[in-house]
Amino acid sequence: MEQTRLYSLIRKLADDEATPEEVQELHEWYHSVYAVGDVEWPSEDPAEEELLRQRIWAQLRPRPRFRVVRMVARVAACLVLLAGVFLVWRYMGNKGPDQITVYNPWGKILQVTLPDSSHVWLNAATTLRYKRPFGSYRELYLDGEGYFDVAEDPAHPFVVHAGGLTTTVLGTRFDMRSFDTDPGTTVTVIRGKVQVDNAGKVLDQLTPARQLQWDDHTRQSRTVSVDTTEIMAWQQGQLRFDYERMETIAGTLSRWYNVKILFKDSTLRNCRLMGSFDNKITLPQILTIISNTIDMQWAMDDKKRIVILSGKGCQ
Amino acid sequence: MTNYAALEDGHLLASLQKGDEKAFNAIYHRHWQKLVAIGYYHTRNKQMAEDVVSDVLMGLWHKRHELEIRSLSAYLGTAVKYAVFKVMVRHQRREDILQTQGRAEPDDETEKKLEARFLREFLDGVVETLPEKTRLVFRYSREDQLSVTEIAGRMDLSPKSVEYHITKALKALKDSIRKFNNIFFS
Repeated sequence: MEQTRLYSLIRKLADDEATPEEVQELHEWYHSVYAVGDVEWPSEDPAEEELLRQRIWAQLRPRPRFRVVRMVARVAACLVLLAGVFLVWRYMGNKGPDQITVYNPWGKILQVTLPDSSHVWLNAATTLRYKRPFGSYRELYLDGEGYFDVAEDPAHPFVVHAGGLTTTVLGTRFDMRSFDTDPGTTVTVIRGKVQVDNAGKVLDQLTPARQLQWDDHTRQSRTVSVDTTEIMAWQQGQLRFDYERMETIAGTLSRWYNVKILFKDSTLRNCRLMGSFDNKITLPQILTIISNTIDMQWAMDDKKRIVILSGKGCQ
Repeated sequence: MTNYAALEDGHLLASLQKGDEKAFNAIYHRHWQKLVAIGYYHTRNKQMAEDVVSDVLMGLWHKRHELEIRSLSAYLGTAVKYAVFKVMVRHQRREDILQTQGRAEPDDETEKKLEARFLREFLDGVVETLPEKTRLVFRYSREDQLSVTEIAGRMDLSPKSVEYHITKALKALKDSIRKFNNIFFS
């Protein structure tokens, strides 16, 4: 049935204006098309099921309402103090049952919808944690890489912590990356404006196509202009390396293919490469392409869990 | 300790009426997959499918005191159909607003009307469970607007037993709707 016809039938049904034939037509459309069991939900991710349950449950919870009638100032002050203690207690009890952890292991990108209907794409080997209720206090902890499309809500800032940096936004799209194999943490803005802090000190305010790079060793940051299509490649299903060190590339490959990558020759680590691959490519294919480009040999163990790289690299 | 996963729908409903969160979770886990699949099949849209599940379960929660739900699967079957309709209407409305840049005609009534229609269909289902004679008397009385004497004549019953069947049907419905005003039947 045509969409427009369908919508018009539903509206007629609602308005009690549908003829018995039209009611029949609508119910036939509804009943004829499906047989439960034939229909597959496009994701079998248990994390998604859990998030959906949490979102529904969050909507069911009655909102706490406070009515203060002629409150004595002293009592109010006590309450403020108590609330402060409560918040500290909540903050200390970081690992309580109210904390939600979403983990995306390897070989795929996981799209998560948060309770405020913001969207997050998690790269391979990435963990995202947040506390519920989420709506009034939008704070997340990221370990890995995430692309955030934040639902606009100026009253409730959206805060992401990763690798010692804190990114605060009001409604925007940005990418934040902090893997162990990286030399630091990066924040890249696609749309809108964000502020990045480290230990309470503002590092910079970023506008679109600007990237803040934090170096874990020097504990300094610098902001550069970047091509955002490069940044977003992973989210669109590409493994893309833009003049990156072999060590960083190995980190990305080890997360995507869930393998351990070891360097036999250290000189290989600093060799920089450019390249772009569809993320459906196999690990042997990509390693072969790289070894055709630079002086590198690779070997994989029988269980396909460990890869050893050797060679002189770019020298 | 109660093993909620092992409870039957009937027991879960009883716990749900007391506002038991665990009962709700058990119902969710038992039925969400089916609901989301139905929602997805009809809308071919993940967000809309999720809205369908959300609508059905929130409806169940909010109506837990008002409706006497005897068969959970029968309730959910009707509820999910109307949730699909509601979500589609909502979706089309959003598209209209986007296309006209916010100048679309205001209309928040259609969803409410679909909700009323859903309740009517649910209660029709209750009538269906009545014994045949009671059901027939009730339909003659309410749908065909026949008087007690007319029904008595048609069905070869005494006026008194016609009244008895009508009272029985109304009682069954009242049990089913408890707090709802008799807007659909008065």
